[in-house]
Amino acid sequence: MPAETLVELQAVGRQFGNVAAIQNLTIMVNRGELFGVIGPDGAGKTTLMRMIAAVLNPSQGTITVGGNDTVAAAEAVKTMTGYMPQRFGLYADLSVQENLAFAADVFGITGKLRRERMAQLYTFSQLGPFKARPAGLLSGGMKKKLGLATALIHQPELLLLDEPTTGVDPLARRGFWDLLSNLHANGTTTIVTTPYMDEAERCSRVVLLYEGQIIACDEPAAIKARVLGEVVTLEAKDMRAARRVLEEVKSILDLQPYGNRLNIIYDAEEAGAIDHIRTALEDANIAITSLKSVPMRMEEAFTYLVNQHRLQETV
Amino acid sequence: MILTHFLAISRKELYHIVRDPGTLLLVTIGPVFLMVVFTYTLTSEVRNAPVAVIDQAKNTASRDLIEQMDTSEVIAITDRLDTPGEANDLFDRNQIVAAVIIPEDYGTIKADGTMSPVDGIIDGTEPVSAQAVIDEISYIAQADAEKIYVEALGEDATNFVRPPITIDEEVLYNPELDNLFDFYPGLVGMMLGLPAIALAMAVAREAEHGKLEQLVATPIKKRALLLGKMAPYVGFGMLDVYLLLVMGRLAYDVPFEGSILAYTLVAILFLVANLGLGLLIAVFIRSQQVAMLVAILVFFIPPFFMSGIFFPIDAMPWIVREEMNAFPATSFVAISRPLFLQGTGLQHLWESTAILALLAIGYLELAVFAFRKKVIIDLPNPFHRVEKAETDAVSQRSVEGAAQ
Ligand SMILES: Nc1ncnc2c1ncn2[C@@H]1O[C@H](COP(=O)(O)OP(=O)(O)OP(=O)(O)O)[C@@H](O)[C@H]1O
Ligand SMILES: [Mg+2]
Repeated sequence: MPAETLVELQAVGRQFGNVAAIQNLTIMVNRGELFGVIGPDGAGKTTLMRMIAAVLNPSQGTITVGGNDTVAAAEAVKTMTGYMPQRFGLYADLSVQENLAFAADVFGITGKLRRERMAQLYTFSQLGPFKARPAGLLSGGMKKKLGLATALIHQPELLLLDEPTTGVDPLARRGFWDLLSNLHANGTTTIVTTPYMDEAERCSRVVLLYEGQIIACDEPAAIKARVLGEVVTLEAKDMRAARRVLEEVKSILDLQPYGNRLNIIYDAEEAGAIDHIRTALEDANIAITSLKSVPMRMEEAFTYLVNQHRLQETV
Repeated sequence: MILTHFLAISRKELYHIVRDPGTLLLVTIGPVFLMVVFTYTLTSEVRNAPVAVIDQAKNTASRDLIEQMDTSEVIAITDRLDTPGEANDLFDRNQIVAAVIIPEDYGTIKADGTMSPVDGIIDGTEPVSAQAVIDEISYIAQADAEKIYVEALGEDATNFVRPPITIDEEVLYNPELDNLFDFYPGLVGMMLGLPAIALAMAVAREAEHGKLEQLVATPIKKRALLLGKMAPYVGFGMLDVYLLLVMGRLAYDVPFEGSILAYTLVAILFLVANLGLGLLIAVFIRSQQVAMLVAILVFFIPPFFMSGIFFPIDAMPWIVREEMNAFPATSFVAISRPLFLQGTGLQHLWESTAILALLAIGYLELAVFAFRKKVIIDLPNPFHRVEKAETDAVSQRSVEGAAQ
């Protein structure tokens, strides 16, 4: 089945004064994808989402959603998208029911259809028992679910979710992603941003953003496969000294400190690299608390790719 | 669709208003409360106003009267003069606000049963304080005269048909000086600035709290959005109009001579124009505090000047008068005064009514035109790095990792 493009970004850039929030971005998102936009604080995720939602114009380039230009045909884009901003955009003093009904009115969903949709969404989001509760009194996770439900009221062709799991406890996060997977299975096209690398694994495709630039755009497994290395994680008494030593080891591609551990990406092609590391540390009289191989996660891959990117920039 | 949008927004706005006690108070009894405070300060702030006495009688009765006046807190006798001419000099140098002339035969009841009245000269440049001084002097003189009648004719004096004791008010400088209720219709226009301030703040609040971002990303119609936000405030504004009307009648004896229907029409036009101006302010200023400050300036200062409390309108240069027409309150005051107090029909006030209608449509259209269904970016982004506490650890790590 040939994939049909729903969202198309052509050389898109956006500046705020002299801050380049997004630089020269060209991406296609196909119908039916669960597309992740991954990046740290200030990477430009919100800026990108706002531009696709047609509430912010790009400084350069063009964006189309279902063939509609987000600048010239902004209202058409708004009709076919459901946008959930990073900040809670619903009304704290309105009940769950009132918020949903308001969204239905805004999208012109009336009569029987409206009753059906609302019933569906209550079941889907498990907000049924909280209909009468003011939205401001919902838990963080439930607020996000309500946000999702209101964004879905008109069954949009494109769902835009900006950091829907930020500030939500891990259990609710998983619950929310289960909802997204459900929607994905039913063919909804979703673009979702997140600063959590582990969430990238649940997307069909992701774009890694860093300082407004694309680091990579591919399926999660393919991105990890780009890193031609393996990960060992080290805990030692004197981490500083360990680092100094390891910086000299040739087969090591990247060093990534995480709290009191050090993730070492080493060249998997090179034989016996892990022994190399152990010997180098022992030669320098550094006491190793633990040194073990771990599977590569998105987190390590992303950091590795960002470091490579920065190296290239400085060259 | 546009009607559905309008109704949806109005309903939502109504919920916001009735569920927030502060806003609810502001748009319901706020104007009435402010009117009470305002008129109270206007009338009661007069303390120890300097008054000269010209005692031409120099008898027991006149000394008694002066003593009465001396105990008053509203006025203070600062000068005792021999001739009325001497008072002019003191008026010129702004040393007194009133002069009281006691006639030679004060205290004697004449053959026809009358008594020569006390004369008062008032400086009318500050009408409100002048009114308070007049009221006080009249009250004292009246009480004193009653006492004289009773002393002369016994307790039965109250049964006699008494000729009235009057104070001749010889007003200097401002011959139009009238009672407080002359300003009342103008003050109503000022109080009706409150709903407009509340509206400007409501729009700014929606933007400040990040709710507008979600709303502008929907296919909602701009006109429906702005009109819908305004509608409940027009409703509450009309409630205020009637409350102020009733209060004026009951508490201040302000006569309402005009047609209620005409007044209602003018009030609606005025409210829509005022609220449209409020929207226009909020379209450009999306910070609650700044919007409130600007709105206070726009809605309180012009009616304050135009209702003639302290400044005679006719004395202003024409250019200022023309510019003042941009403020809806100017026309409202111009219409409601004669309509309210003299019952003048709208057909005689059509010019100001037309200006009001023009402003109502103009400000609304301008606000709709200027409103952009976009995220505002020229402000420093207040949304940034809030609600992020929990992810900070994670993303901080990846940034750090990246920086190594
Ligand atoms: N309205 C704005 N005005 C000025 N600068 C802005 C604005 N919005 C974003 N920026 C800047 O653009 C850059 C990208 O911001 P953006 O909000 O898109 O990042 P983000 O990835 O969503 O970050 P976060 O994880 O904090 O939400 C940042 O440097 C930010 O300061
Ligand atoms: Mg963001």
